Amino acid sequence: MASVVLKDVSKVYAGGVVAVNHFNLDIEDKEFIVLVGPSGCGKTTTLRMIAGLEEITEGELYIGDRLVNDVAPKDRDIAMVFQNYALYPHMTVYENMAFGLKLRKTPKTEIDRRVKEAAKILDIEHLLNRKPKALSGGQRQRVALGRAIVREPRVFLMDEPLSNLDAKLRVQMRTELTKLHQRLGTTFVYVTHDQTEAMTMGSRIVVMKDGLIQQVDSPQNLYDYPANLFVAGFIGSPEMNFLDVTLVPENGAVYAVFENNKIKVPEGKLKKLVDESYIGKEVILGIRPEDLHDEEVFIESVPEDVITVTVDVVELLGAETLLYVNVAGTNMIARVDPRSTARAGDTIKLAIDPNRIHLFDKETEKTILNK
Amino acid sequence: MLNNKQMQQLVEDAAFNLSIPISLVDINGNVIASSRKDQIQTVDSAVQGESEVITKSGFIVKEGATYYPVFLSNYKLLYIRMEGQGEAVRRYCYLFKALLELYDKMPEQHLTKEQFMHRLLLDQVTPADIPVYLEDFRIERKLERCVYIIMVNDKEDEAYNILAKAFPRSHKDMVIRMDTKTMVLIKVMEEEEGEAINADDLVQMGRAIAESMLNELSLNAIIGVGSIKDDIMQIKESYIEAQKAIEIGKAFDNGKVGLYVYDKLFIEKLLYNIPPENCREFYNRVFKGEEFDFLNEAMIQTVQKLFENSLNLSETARQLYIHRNTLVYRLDKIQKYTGLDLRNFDDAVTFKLGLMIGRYLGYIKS
Repeated sequence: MASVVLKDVSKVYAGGVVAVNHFNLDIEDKEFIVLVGPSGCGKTTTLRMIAGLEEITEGELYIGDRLVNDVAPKDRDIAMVFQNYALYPHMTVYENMAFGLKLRKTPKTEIDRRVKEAAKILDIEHLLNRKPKALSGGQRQRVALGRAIVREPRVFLMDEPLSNLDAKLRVQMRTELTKLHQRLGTTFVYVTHDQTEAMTMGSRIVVMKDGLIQQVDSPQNLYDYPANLFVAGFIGSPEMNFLDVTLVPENGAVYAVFENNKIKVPEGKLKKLVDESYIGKEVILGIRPEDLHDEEVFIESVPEDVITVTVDVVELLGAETLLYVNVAGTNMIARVDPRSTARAGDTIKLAIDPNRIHLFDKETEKTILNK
Repeated sequence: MLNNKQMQQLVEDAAFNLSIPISLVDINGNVIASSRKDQIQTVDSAVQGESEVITKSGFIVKEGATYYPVFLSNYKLLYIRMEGQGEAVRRYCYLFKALLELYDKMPEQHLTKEQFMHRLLLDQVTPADIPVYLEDFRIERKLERCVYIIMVNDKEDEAYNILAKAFPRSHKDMVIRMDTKTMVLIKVMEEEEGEAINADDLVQMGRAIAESMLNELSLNAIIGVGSIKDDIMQIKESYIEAQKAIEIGKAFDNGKVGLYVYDKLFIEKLLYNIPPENCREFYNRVFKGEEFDFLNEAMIQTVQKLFENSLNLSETARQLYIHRNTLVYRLDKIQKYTGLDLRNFDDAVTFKLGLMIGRYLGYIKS
């Protein structure tokens, strides 16, 4: 087991393209860390640098206490599971899992022990004599994982390992990978562009964009306290609603005003706005779909935080209902109770939970209200 | 020095190419080799007792066939027997005699199995020698095989070792070093679990090789895969296809993928055969002869994702983590500059071909 430390690591490709820009991260021993971000954000490049498959242009990389910038991948004590995992079709599951160890001239008895142990962990003991073609997608993925497990690495690196599976299987494998991490007690570095995967699996998440770290935090903190507009929009599905508002003082209170609507900013959030001279300025207000309410009781409880909207579409999802609404030309989504009576074309009132609003600086796009 | 098997192979090849039945007969009339296999080891009565006459006169025509003597080291004197008569047949006899003498004088080669396969791939083994070597090395002629070319730019010995371990000889597979950077895997394609091998299996195998090279040696191997052949005599064609797959594949993806399967390069093969000037004309028509700033990496990635998702906007937006409206905005921008609406299948095809040709032209230029 080992920690992984990236100190000011950058990757610049020929031609000056900066893929990763001054990346600083301490991954603790036994941690399950997820790198997430849209395509081209540098997450895979970062993982490949940890693996040694990409040279580090600048900075230092430590695995355990050892500086590994110039250490060959095979000597880094890591195992990687790729997006397009590939098994040799002519080899059995056992042979596929044993192949890497065979190349390292590991004694046969030791190979046998490790393969059988990994097969037991992954519940594929009964498949050891089968060829890959006779396996389902999920079973093949487990074999690919097994191939990494038998190496008994100090760090597992996984590059979108579930992206080739169908939606149902992805959900199932998500849980299994989490269990696997708990069982192996090894450091996992996991790359995905799927925020649901990131949220459900990672003990900490690194959100990246354009080669830069946007925020590193626990899934709940990322969701509740996004550091900037990008993180706020990236984490959460449906994504957070954004409104351009002006902060207007009125009778000792501050209201976020847009068109004919106004929302009272809770007193607890005012100090920061005053201290940083945001009063009177335009900012971006963010509110998650579940923090918009159409229940009468809620609307009555926060009369100063109610907006009037037109319902465009109602999506019944069983456990919840999504209302696609329009307010002053801005589209928003509200996640409401499935018993909601709102119908397409209705003009209804929605209450905004004032304690759950987020405010972002319009220029820097950084959050104004921290924890 | 030619042996009986080699002579038989030469007779068969010549008869096939000249469309004339041919035999070789010794001075006692015994048929040593023949394109009509049922005549081998029979006695040609036309030669019995006439050998002196044939030898003296050079050509002789008897019972509708032309006979011509040839001196070979093993048999001293043999007669070429070709069906028919006349000037043309005589010339064929003369040519075939020259061919036999040439082969007879060639020094005997002792190739290892690897050397033989190496030469077979490069078409450097005489047709007469092939059956002999196949028998010597116990190589089955009729077996489905496929050629993989694996090119690495470092750690060649270790790469060879990985291949040799993944494809041991006991499985009838062969790994051959072609030069310092290039290895060839001749993979026997036996059915897996009762299912026939298809192009996807070839890809899977290629990926597994690439992954081993990357995982074990951190090498980005370039792999070309030919199509499956069911006769080892055609294996050189699979080798040429694998070479072509690399050549064509690299031209269209700038070497980013690294695995090129000949049977999967449909459009690429087609475009590769179009003269560059026609490609340029097409490209200029699609992109109006201009280099557009809007076609940056993000835009190309957007378009590629759209194609990967069969023009499904919602799924593309989801995978790119952009709002659907952002995607629509980008597509509108493309339409504004090119007049092509990528939500429309025909326009999407034109744009895709334009992009591919653009990459190809860039490759030619570089």
